[in-house]
Amino acid sequence: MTPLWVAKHQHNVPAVFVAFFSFTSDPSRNSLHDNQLKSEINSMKAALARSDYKTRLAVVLLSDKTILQAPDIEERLGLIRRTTGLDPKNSLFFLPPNTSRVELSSFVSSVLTALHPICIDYYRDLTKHARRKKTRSNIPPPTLPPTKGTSQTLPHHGWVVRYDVKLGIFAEFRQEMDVAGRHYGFALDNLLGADAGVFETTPSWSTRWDELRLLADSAAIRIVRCFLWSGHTAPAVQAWTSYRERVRALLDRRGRGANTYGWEAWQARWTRVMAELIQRADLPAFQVLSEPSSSARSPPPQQPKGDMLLFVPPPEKPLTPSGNRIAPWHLLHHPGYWLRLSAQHTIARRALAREIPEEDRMPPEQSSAHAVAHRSATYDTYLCAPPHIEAPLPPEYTGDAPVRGVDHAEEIVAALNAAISQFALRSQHRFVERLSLDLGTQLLEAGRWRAALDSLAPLWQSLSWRTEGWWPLVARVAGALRDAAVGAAEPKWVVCAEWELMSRRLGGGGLGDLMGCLEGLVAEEGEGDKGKVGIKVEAEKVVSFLDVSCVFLNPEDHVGEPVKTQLMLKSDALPGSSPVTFESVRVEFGGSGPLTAIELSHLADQGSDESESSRIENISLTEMRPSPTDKPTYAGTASLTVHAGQALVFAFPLILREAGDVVLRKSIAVVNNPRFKLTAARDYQRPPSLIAPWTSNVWWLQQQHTGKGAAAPLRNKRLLSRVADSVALRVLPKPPKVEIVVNGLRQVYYTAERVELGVTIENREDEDVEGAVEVRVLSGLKEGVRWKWVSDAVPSSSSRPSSPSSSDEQSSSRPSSDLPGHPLPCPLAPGASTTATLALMAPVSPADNVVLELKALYHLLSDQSTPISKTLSIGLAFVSPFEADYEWSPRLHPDPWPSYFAVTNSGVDGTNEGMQQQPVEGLIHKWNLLARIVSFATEPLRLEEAHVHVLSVSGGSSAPKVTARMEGPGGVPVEKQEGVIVKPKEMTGRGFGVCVAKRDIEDRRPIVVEAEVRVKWRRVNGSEGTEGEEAVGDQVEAILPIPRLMAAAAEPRVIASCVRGAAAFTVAVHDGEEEPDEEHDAVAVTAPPIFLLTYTLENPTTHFLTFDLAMDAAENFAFSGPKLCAVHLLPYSRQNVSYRLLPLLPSSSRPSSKEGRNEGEGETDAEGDADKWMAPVLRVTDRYFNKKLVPLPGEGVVGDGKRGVLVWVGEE
Amino acid sequence: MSSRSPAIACIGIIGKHNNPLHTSLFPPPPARDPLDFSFLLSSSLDVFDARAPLKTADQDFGLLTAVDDRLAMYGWLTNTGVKFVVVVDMEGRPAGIASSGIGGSAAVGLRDADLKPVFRALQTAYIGLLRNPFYEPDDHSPVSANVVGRVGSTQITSKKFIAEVKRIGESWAPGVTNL
Repeated sequence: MTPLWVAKHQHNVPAVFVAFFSFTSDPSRNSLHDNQLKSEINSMKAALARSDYKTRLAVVLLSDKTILQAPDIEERLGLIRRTTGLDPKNSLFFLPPNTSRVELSSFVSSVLTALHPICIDYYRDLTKHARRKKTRSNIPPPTLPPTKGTSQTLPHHGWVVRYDVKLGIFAEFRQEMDVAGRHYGFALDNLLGADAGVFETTPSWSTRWDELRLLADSAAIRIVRCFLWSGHTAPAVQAWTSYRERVRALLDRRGRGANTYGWEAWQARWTRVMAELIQRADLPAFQVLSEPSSSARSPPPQQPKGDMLLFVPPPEKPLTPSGNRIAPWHLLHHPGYWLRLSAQHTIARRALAREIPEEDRMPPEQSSAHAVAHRSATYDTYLCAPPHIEAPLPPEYTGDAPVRGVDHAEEIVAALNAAISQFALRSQHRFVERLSLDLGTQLLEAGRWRAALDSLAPLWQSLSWRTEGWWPLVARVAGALRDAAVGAAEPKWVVCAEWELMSRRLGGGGLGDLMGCLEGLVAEEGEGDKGKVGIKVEAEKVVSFLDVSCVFLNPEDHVGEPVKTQLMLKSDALPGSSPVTFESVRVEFGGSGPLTAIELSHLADQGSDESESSRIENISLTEMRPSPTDKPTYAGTASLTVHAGQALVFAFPLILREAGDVVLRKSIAVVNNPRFKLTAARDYQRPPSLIAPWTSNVWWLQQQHTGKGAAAPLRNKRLLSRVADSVALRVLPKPPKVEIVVNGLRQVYYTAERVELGVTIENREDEDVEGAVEVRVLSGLKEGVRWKWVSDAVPSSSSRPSSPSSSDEQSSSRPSSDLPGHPLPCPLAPGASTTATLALMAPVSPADNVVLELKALYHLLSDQSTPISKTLSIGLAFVSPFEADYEWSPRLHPDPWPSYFAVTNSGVDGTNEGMQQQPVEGLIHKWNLLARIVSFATEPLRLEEAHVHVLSVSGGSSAPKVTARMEGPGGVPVEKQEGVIVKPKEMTGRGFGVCVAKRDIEDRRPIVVEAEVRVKWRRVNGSEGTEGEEAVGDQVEAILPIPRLMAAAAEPRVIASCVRGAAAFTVAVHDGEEEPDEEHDAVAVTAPPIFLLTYTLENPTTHFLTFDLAMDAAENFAFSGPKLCAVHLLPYSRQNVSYRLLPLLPSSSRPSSKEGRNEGEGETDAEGDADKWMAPVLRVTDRYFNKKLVPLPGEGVVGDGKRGVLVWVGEE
Repeated sequence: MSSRSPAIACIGIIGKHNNPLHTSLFPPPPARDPLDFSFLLSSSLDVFDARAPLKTADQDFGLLTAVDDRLAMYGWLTNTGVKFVVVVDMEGRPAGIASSGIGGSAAVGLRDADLKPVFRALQTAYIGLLRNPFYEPDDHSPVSANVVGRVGSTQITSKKFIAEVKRIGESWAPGVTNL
């Protein structure tokens, strides 16, 4: 069976022959034309009939007029049909003119649909014929003698195979692909069957063997194609794989084994065929969309196939009994993978070809017959070249003209290129890179340096492995590039690759000698600078072993001050690589700062450049300024030879002249060599990446020498503080150097105090200055804080003795009136200082956030146009030093009351006009104001005087008369007050007698007194707690407000006052002094003190009042006096009722505490002294008004609210 | 040819920036070429890139791609962008008892689900690594790590983690559900 048969059915003998005729409508020529047409068609039919093939004829008439335009067409068509015997349904078609594309395509498809059953019938007939022949029991002898090129005698197997293949092909024609696949499968089984296959009976040396393989291959291809046609992708791959395995098994068993280049060649072909089949199948899964992004945006919900697929996804339902387990490879992958496999097989083929021994590579005409026979038994040359072509010997061996052998590299490269295009279509960039590398290495292997370089150089420049940190892969590419560049004599790429391979990250692969990497490479363009290549590498694109950085120790510095700077060259080169000498290193800056660049140049002969350890070198730079307005550049020299792993740190101060931000822009390191000039740039503005991470932001320090001789190691610290992310250094304007110092500042100041502060201005500038000091006091107070300068500035002792005499300057100083504020002595010499006193009047009310702002405004005498200011802010707190609380209780005024019955002179006269005009003065009431003054100061203060100052009196038609003065115990007026030292939180009491009298006795309204206590105090010298404190400073008057004082004048009242027996009875003095607790010890000797309690009943009314008095008995004292009595009081009179009280001291029987009498009495310790109080209860009842009067506390007793009074019986 | 069954050939941990964090080979070099597998792991990133926009919540990328009839790559993406890639060699180890294939090689086949236990175990191991207070993920991201003294140390060096990956890689076989 030869390809001729297939060609016959595929190309030569159709099922249907479609003839197209133009069909013109010209009334004059219609019949002639029709007759020609008829005869033509009839002759065609006759020809087809003669051929013995059952090819059907179909005719399509292309008319130039429609039936509507030429109605006679229908008639003509009928005539033609009748004459030619064509069936209008499936043989004769009429196409009207001017049809659109859509109409045309629908017409074509309708024609095809009409013809389809005819074709199917045609091939079904052929299939029947073939099936009959296949099932024939005896095989007929060939019709022609078996010569080459015709059909041959077949065994039964072969016969069956032949007709299976034919049946398969017919089935394909019928488009029954599964049937076709089955037939091919039978054929393949019969060919390859292990026990009865055709191969088993065919010797592998015969030509029939190769023909059989060809037949098997084509059958297998058709099987795969059938599966692909019907979309069964996984079975297609399985068929492919299994066929390969069966062929391998066959070759191992019967052929020349699977370890020959022929086998690899066949595999390469077989995979390529698969790739082509997949491409031809045009599976929907592998449709490459032109715009992957748009498809990715709208992913179909059910199947994620909007994306380009790398392989056909597994079916949803399990196909095989073993669940959904499919070998991954059996999911059909896109052709790129297959093409790559093809390339790999070709590579293996080449490797095997190279192993062919020399004798087999001789051309057959030069070899012995034995050798040739041996070869044919050893080498599988099915569809590939014999050994002497596969791997020809060089001409010098054979002596003949060179044999053009098989170009494996070409095949590999072609396959790889095809694969690359497939992978690139599907955006598999990394895979493409990998294949490109493979391609490059293959080209290298083939010695095609230029082509290798052309493919590797673009790859090397845009490696995704580099951006993602796959360093070994980068090293592989760089190594290949270097090899290619060396081969192609391209110094530029050699240097580039070497530069990258120097990095320790890549792990080697280079020469490790950048400076000498071009040695041995022939310079093609001649010596000298002409032949020098200029190379530029960027740290963002090429892995660099060099890290250049420039750091400033302080993120902020001032103009004119040395900025500590380090420029660092750190090599991260491969250990063992040779040092690299840079011609220059330049760091460029941007931003508003006064710095453009720092450039270091190499200076070879410096002492210590041989050491390979890291070091810090202090160098000095020279400032270069192209023009005065330009920003400066700094330049210096140093040894710039960097060894592997070494860090060269150059430390230098920079003195910058202007303010601004300095931004690190880029660094440029230049290697200049006789052969090349390499510029390595690093752009610091770019974000860090894997290739170029953050530049090292460290400050290097020299460690102390530890060992002998060995260079001290360096260590570094990370600098963390930065003004802003991008700003390397912020240069601040020149700082003011005039200092303001405030002397004698206290922690706390008190209200109403006069505060004096010494303000010292010191000139630390290098030049004379003049200026003034401004004062501002910021307080929240309405009235503000008053301040003034007390004295003029007097220059104090100069801190610089050698300065010219300051007194001379003082005399020559002129007031610099052009500046506001307190002028400084002018000029103030450098180092000199001046002190002025600032007085503040503290506010009367407390204020705790007063800010005193002192601002020195000055300028240098040399530069009067630039004002400089220095501000000092001080927070001041003013607190009130004392606070007080008050007790307001009535007293008996010693003056007698006017008698109701007494007749004054004026009243008798009656003629005296002054009687009406001068009414009788009112009663004088005396009150006691007890002020308990507590110090709220933080230090002891001396309280010198306290006065009650009456602010206003109200009540009554006429102004009442009020006097207040300080009184001691017993109402004795104190004429001269003695100062007392009051410690913090200490209390001191001051009693004031306040006498209140109405102008008119008839005025009965109560009197309201508003007053305040004025306390005069001084600060005390000496620390707290020490004795002998001495009052210093000014006397300050503090005002303590008093709540309103009410003095009722017109109601009857009872005032209790008590005198201790000791005072009243001198006899009892000795006994009374004894402690009550010691009574048991000295029963016989001591007598308890007697208390004389006097109740004064006052009747300031004009009524006659009678009071019933009843003294309650109590447990803890005994009394003598009227238990019950009635007291009659005349108008304007008062009367005393006296009791003598003897406390019954409670050492044995504690009085019951059922009455908490002492509550509310804050002065005493209620718990401990509860039994030391007597609580006499005198009930005073107005007989007529039936009103109870509560005794008010007077002298010597303490009030107890509504109950009455308490008498202290404890120690005095 | 002797029938063989699938085994893990390589486990790769790839960082957020697509940088390699760790690679384990089974059996270890020189039986397998680290460079080859580096190429493979790197190429798997193509698939992650292509499929990540289409992925929703699931972390399992399943079969990324087969490379040839033996090697196939499976992927898993953690929430932090770390990728686990497992390369399965379909003929990695001699078959046990009854894996009679029709075509001989790789008859068993694999489901995506077969690899899930591996990824779960890897994720557990990785979480264990992250819980180590001395492991600073940022140090392993070369973008943020300072270059001084940190070059080359972006690989995971935890012995425990590496041993765990080794254990996972060696103990997996198709059908193993718990690692």
